[in-house]
Amino acid sequence: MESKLNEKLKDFIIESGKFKGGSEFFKVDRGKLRDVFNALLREFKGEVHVTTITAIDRLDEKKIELDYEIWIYPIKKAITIKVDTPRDDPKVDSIIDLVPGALLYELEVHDLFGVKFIGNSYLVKPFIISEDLGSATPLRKDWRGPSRQ
Amino acid sequence: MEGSLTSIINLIFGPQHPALHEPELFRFKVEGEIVVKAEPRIGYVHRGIEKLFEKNAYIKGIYLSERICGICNVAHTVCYCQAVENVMNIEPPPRAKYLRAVVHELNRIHSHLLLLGVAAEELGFDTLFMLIWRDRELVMDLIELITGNRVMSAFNTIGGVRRDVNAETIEKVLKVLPKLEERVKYYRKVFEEDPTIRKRTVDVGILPRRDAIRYCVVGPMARGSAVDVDIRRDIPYAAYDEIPFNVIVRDECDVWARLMVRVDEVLESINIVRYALEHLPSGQIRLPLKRSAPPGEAISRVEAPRGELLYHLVSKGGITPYRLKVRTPTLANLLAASKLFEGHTIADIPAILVSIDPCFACTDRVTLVDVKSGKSTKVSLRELARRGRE
Repeated sequence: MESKLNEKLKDFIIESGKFKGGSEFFKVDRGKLRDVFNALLREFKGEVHVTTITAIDRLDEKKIELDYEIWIYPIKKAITIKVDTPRDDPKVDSIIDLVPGALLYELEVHDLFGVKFIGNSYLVKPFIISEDLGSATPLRKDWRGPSRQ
Repeated sequence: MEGSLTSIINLIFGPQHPALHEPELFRFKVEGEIVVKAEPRIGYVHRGIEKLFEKNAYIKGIYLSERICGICNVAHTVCYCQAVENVMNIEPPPRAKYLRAVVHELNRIHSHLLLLGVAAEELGFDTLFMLIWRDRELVMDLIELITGNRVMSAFNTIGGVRRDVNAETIEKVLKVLPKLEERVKYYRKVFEEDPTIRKRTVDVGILPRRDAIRYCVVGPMARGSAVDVDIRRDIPYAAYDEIPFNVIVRDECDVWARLMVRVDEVLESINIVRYALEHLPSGQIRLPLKRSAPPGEAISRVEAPRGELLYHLVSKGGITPYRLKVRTPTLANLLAASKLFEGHTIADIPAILVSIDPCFACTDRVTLVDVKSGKSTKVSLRELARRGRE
């Protein structure tokens, strides 16, 4: 089953590796994100769990990295799918129609990093942060609190 | 009463209460007594802890992570320390791994007993609530005995644990466990057989397996819906690869199944604590502390009492993390939880809510808003629970 995973992902992978501690990650083009999820869902009969979406502001590289932490039930394996999006216009396709459980994570990343998820009509701001912060994206590296702006 | 049958009422549940550490708001659309739709609203105590991690040294992060959730504080420190240890290329000594498992399981027992007590209270069984909470004190005493603290254990540290146990402590713990086990077996019988509990929980708040997977639920909520997942077994950490235990999975998919999963997990946790203490390796309990980490990334997962807890740590070198993402289990369960209320009565709301074991369970204020007249009425959760019993 695990070899099927590598087989299914091989056409999409730009880069792959292992985190310290062992779990694997696969970097894919952001335009192929939905194709990756479609392939995984098809292969594993829909039993794919999105644990969270981790956004990382790579300020030096002028990009925001989105890490989709995934658990695949049939093979009991955790993997991470990484996609990059530019900091100045961060956009990526939504996957909530494929995995509805990803909704809150897309809302969270949108709220804290300002990443737009194309196709997600539930995006609201503020979602988690205080209303008086307005359109702030507080987890970006160049954000300074209201008192320092 | 006639009017309420023909109009949709917004029933606002939450969000604030001084006793809460994770307030939450649910807006229920209600037709008569039936919930048509439930919408959660979160973020009332967003403290920016992920940002705070970036400003504090790794060692301070232990205490910060512990304060994300008071009830499952051990799960947070285990998860945080593992992430940092992975980035720092540190392997804690075997004795520390066993001790982490012991305190982690005691923490799970106290969290589950807390929830089972609250569930009993919400179901109208106050005596059971008091009995369970009385026996929960046995566990709290054991946690204090081992860690020196009753709630915030401050037990885990980067590279191991902060306190060792001696033969006398082990003997005391092993002496208490049979008493606790006997009481939990009795509570299991009550939850399994009591007609009132069964009437309030069986076939209520059904989450089919397919939906549990689609909505990405975790922990006892997933296992109560026939999803066979437990991080302790699937991605073993601490000493779980050496400790035998069963993963409790039920296929009834209702409130009762979710409560029974927790009752049985308490019994499993008691066995884990017993095994770990009887097979405790000798040796040191921690390695010398490193203050800085090399560049790298690590993901740490643990099975917290409410389900999978994840920390994703990014280091660019130095004494502070570049980024630390925390995904707590209540957030994962929130979306599916809001679906569970649909089609059930207002009286079922407390029962369904406690079956999720949310940190915000003690939200005790409900506002009824009649959208036609604009009038609002405040009702306590206790009153809501009382209506359910009648």
